[in-house]
Amino acid sequence: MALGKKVVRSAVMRITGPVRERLETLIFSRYPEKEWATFILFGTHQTPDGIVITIIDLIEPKEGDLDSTTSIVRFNEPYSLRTALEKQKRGLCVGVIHSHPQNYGVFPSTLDDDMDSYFRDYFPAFGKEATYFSLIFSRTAEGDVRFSGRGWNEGREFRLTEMVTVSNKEIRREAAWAKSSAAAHSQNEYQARLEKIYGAEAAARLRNASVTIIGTSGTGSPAAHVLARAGVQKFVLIDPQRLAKSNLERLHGSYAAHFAKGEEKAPLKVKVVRDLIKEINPKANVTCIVGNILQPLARDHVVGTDLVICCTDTNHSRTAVSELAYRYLVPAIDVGVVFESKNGVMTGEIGRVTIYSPGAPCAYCLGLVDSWRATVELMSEEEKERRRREAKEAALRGDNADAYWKDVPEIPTVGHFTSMAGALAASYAIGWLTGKFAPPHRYFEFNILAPRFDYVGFDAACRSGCYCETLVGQADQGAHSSVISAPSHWPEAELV
Amino acid sequence: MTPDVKARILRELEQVTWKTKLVENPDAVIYFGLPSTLGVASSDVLVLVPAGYAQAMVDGACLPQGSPLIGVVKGQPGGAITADGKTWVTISYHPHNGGGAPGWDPTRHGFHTYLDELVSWLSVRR
Repeated sequence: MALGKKVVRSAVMRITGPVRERLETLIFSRYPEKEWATFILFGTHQTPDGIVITIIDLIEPKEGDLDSTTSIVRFNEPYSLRTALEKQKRGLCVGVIHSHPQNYGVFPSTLDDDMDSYFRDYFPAFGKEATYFSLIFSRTAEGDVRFSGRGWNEGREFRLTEMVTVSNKEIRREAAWAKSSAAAHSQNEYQARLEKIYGAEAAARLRNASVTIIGTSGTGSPAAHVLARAGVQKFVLIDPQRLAKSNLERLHGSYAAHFAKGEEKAPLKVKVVRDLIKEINPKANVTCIVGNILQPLARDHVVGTDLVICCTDTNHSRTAVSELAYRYLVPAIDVGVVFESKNGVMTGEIGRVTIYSPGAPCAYCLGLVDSWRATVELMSEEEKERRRREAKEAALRGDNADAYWKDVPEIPTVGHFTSMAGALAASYAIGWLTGKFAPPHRYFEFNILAPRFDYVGFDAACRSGCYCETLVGQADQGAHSSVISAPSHWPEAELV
Repeated sequence: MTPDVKARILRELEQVTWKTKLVENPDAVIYFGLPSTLGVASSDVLVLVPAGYAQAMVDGACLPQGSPLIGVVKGQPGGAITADGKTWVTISYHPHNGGGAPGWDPTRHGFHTYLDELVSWLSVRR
């Protein structure tokens, strides 16, 4: 009987900058000759192709938890038991990260195999989460860090391929087994100017970056346009709509020719933007999703990308990306525009940029969600109709009709300003992905028609006890406190 | 109901000592035997899970068909729905939408906090 070939799926690890810093300080604390280790607490999200693991925290060893008399790592039972009980109590996953001595490789030794075969059976017995991961880090005398990792979940096996580190200053994607300071060589002539200003490493980081754009219309299309020209080669585009003639005024990449067979046969917006990116860089890898960020298909793709640019200016998208930032460690730049006028004269063309990242306040902490607007965005047409009818009846009775229904006016936008907003979001994405620059505040707004642009910016903190503080990195295991879901009346999302 | 929504609501209901039940098709929470001071000692109340929960606010309530509380509690009676083998009458009661409760915030509110709104509702004549 022929034995089936073992399928090993890929894994991506996401970690915050502060946890990564603590991790390296700890596991390299006995360098150069001796190893050290820590247990880790993490969340997971399984996709059709693999798994994303999100590091929540280290369960650091206390005195006596690891055997300090030997140069290799040896766990004492109280430490494993304490970790297992913590896993059970919190409903999360646990694993091990240990170092190999300086200048050593990160290939698992037979002792590592023994350790993993023990722990991958031991920990799943505590609580319901069955995933176990084991990672190895090593550092050269020059400071180059290498890592490898493998994991198991109920008979499935995973190999770590990449690690994404998210901090306020940079988003760093590193390949497993490679040196962190691998030489970056110029590959694209069109990146030459950018490379001159930010350096070859920044240009390489952009080529390796992966960006999600939610909403590929007036704001999202220029964001994609700018990023493609900057060298970003991997995109996930999400939008449910087909191109309309009114989009010609602001959607980069749309042309009159798109309507040659009539408006109803115009292409999907994601396809228009994909074509735009491909015309700039035929090698670009663009995943197009016709759907909404709330839908599981979208989440499967977004959790593997470096960051999200949210261009829909809706309450539900804003909530979804702010939740992705804290639960899945996928940071986001949310951008929106508003126009104001008085007596027929424009008084405000206002842009607003919000940065969502792990540990930063969510959309609710920032007061950026209108609960009624959010509810209406998610309602079915039948329910809207029923509520409008009830509001009319309430008004006739002399009751407060607003409790039943309030109209939510659409906010019109125009192309010159949405293009600027999209380009602005893309520029901060470039700064974050390269670590070269950052926006002045995590939240700011400005009015290009006002003296000094009426700039208002601040860096608020999370409200005490809010999910953005308590659920960081919990991924799918934090589903019990999910703040938003896709309504069942929406059509299924699909890849095109 | 998505698995996330189900997980969230079950977790919320773990926080209340009252007997409750999460049902599907239609998706709703039933609170059993909530106290009332309006001529009956207690009543079951059904609350529908809104589309897009938890960002979409919990709103409205349903009383068992024939309940003496219909027309006595605040809110206009509406159509009937069937859930958990019973017929329920929808009542237009909107605590988080101008009805006296704070603005809906899914990081703080849920079916566990809605219980307090329902208990108040069953104690105040329209």
